[in-house]
Amino acid sequence: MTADATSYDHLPPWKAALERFWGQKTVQNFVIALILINAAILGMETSPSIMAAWGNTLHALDQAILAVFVAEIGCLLAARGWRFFKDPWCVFDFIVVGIALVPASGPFAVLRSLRVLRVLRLVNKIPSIRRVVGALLGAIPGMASVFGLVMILFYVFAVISTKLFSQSFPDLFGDLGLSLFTLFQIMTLEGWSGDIARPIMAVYPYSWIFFFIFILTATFTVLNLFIAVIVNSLNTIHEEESADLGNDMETVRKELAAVHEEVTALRKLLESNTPPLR
Amino acid sequence: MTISLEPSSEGTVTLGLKHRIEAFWALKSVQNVVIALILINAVLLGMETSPRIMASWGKLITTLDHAILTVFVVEIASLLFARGWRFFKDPWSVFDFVVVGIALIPASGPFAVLRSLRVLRVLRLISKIPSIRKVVGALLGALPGMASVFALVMILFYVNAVIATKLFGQDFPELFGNLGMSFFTLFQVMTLEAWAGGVARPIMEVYPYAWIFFILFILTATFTVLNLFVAVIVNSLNAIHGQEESSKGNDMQTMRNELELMRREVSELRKHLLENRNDHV
Repeated sequence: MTADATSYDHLPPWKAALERFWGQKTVQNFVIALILINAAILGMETSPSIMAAWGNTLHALDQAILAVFVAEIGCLLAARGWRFFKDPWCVFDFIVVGIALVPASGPFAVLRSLRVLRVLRLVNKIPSIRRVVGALLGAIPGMASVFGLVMILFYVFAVISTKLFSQSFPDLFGDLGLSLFTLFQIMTLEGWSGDIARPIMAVYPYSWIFFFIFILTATFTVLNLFIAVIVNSLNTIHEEESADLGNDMETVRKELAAVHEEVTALRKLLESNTPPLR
Repeated sequence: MTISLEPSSEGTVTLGLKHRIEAFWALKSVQNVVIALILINAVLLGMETSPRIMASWGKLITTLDHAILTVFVVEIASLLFARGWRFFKDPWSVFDFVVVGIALIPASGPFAVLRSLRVLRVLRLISKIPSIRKVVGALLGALPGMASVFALVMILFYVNAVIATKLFGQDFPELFGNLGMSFFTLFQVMTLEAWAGGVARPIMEVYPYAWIFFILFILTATFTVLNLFVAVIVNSLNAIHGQEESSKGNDMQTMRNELELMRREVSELRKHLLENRNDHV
């Protein structure tokens, strides 16, 4: 968020002033420092001995920092109106700070632990990290078909394993849900042989075929998914930085300039040529 | 579907019929109905795994399953009729044929396992949804190039299985009792599942130098197999990417060619004019 004076011209003056204030480099650096301090405070809150001695100070500091964050988001919300929710990073900030404002009692007690999500605002505030996250997220939609393939594979294998093994191994493959969980465990290779495959092979000697095929296909396609996302996002970052496309454009532009010269010469020739013809 | 018989020879009539059958099953709306049926069938086969649901709805589910199976059989049979032997030239058609055919084999005696394999029908989604089909095609297309790495892995596994059976078979019959068991245990070691706690440490208590075997095997097998996987994936990604990228590159190329042609045209024109003027002067 860099302060670009010209882009706020169409806004009412007070809105432009708010945008400009929070867009300043020094203010942004101050907010980043507050996020870091807040991270340290939230870390200290996990230690009972520190909390016993400094609890009140830490709590007060935490509330003060939270107040700054709420002021920042409140100002930007006022300045931008509905446009605020069009930027996914702003929505992220809004939710992450908003969690701290929900009364953390009863069924929402878990929200107290989620206050530390505020530290994730660093991702938004540091441009290089933000670019990496953006590239990673941007690569995901292209992988939708691979994800669909993994879903189909899991479903098919879950139905087969439930039918084959649920009678003898209700703990592992009792119903579709259990089978899906066990298959996920197998895919991550955690205890697939000692805890799952070997006991089942003691009852069904040929079940190694099932496990062998599942590990090869599921691990293979999921690995594919992961590597593809990484390679694609790396490509995206790389393409943004590389001048490969620019070079191609350059030759085309030179060629165009040559044509232009040629045509100009032709026109001059014609102009000097026409009168004697008549 | 109405079929108008033309008063020409028998051959053209059947040819027309075959074309109509192909065109009918290729229709977008018909394909969408088939995809919907596959999805419904997937849900039905999932419900069949629950004894509770089967107790109350069993008959209805079985009837629906049979009705859907009938549609699939009709689809494949009519395409088989329409294409003849050509049907088996398309690997996706063969896949459909096998996957639907499994349901028609009486599932009794040694074929009881086939009843559970009926759910493989859901995999027809892969051949019906173009984007998933492209991904699978690219993955499979990258495999042949990896044949030599695959052979290398096979050789590594075989050599190590023989060594392990000879060395550890006596003392650890449940892990390395015979070649088959050794293959399974080595596969487990390669996936790094409990390779130390479950396999290597107990063996090292009897054979202190066994760590040499396991470390060498893990380094070579895991390394080459990972290489295999990553290479296949990157190749297939490049294949997909290349298809999309080539159109962009082509655009650029045609643009440059066109410019080149235009320049030549213009300079030709200038030469012509110059000659013309010289003639007049």
